[in-house]
Amino acid sequence: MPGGRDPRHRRRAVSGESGVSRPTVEREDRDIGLQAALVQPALNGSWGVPPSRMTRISSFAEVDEVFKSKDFAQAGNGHGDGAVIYGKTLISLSGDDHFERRRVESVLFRKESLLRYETEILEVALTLALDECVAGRDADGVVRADLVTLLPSVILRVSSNLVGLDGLDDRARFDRLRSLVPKLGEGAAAQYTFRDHAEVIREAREARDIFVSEFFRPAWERRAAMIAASARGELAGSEIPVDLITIMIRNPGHFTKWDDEVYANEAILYIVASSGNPTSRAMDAMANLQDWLHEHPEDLARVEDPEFLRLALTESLRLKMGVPFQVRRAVRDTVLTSSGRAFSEGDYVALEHGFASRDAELFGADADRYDLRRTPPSFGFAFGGGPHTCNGKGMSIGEPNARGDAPLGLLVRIIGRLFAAGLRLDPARPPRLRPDTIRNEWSSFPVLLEKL
Amino acid sequence: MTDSPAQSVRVDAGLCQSTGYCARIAPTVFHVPEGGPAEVIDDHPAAELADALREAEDACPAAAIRVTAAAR
Repeated sequence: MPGGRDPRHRRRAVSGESGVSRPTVEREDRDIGLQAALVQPALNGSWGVPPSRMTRISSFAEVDEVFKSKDFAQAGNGHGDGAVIYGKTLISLSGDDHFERRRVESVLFRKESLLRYETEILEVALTLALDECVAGRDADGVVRADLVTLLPSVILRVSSNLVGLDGLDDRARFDRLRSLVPKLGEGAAAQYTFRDHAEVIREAREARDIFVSEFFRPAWERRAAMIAASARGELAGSEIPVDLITIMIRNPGHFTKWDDEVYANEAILYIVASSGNPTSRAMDAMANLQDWLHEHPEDLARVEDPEFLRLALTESLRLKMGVPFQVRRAVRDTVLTSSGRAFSEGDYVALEHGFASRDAELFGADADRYDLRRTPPSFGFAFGGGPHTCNGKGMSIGEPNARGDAPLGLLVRIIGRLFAAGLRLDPARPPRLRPDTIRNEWSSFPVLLEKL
Repeated sequence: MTDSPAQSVRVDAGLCQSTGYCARIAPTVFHVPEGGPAEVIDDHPAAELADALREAEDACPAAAIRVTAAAR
């Protein structure tokens, strides 16, 4: 790009007048204003909607109202170019179809399931990953890791269990699955790429074919056989795992409303949606928390407290969304109560939820500031809103845990384990953003683990 | 926060996204007025509603419903 550095990236703001403290390790940032400048080309190109039928809104009240309104349907995720992977999935549906899908899959997200993912899978995967880091200790005695490599692998252990994929104790097989995730993720978010969309979609289809033949179909056939054996009285029902694939097999009345693509796409949804964005947001949170602790050493002792870590994560999530906008389509003529803004049936609206999550009307004049003293804490629209509130929310951030029996949240646990391992951003290798997408995802995030 | 007297069902109004899913699953226990948030309208849900309440809790997109063991 002429004129020097690509304006889509810049160093994090460090000006004193903005109230932002100097980061301990300067890192690339895609400023929210710069990201917003990229919205319209994406809207025009990927959705094919003329600007006259697409309204951009960014106030908290309007975004909140549209997210919750039954007058608007999902038109973003799973629509446009991203339909190649997310089409027909939960995230793409609206109305009764969305309700039914959410209902049949809800058992995957009940408290007992979340606790099992955390304690039986995540903690084990983290221990193994950190052991590998120690085994790879550098010649200078320092343990280094790149979280862009480490975290998606750890999370994939959880998501593959939720979906019901088999044989992943075989490291080569797990690595094969791991290698497919970036291409699948690119296809699912093809609306946001700077690359040639047709090429991204072609690569995603190839990855999808491999996923289906090597991982999804064998798992499906094994579970179908188990369910049949159970029906014949040859296998106890308790022997059949509770995972997405068994749920899909057992709910044909719902899933056969779509063609056969729905099954693998639904599985890929959970594999992909749990990987890129959540792990990058966890990296943001760790960087922000490191900066905060540098400025507020009185909080150092609190990093062992999950409630404090959840607070640190929550405030970080509010300030950085994975994508700059969500898209909805008016299904009937309607007027927003919060603003009086009118929409005709068929109009599109781009919800700039990143701006809405920094709305000074709600969060005050210092809304852009990372502040762990902010009350009440809010993650803004980090998990979307309305029916499409991310069903990974509870899995990611858990819930207040006064009785000690609630899920802590996968990301809370990850941050806690890494800080306990002495996490510090590598000052010699600042994190880098992916240059090929509007999405806020890291391409490298090197850290030191100084207590290992 | 709306509590039933028995403390068996709670809706966190701050989390509720007014989807109405709870009222579709357990219409005698939940009501979602226009604009929300959801309200608990049955202070003493019958024991036979335990499964429906559990399902409403699980299916809530906002994870705004808590059903205590007493109702299960």
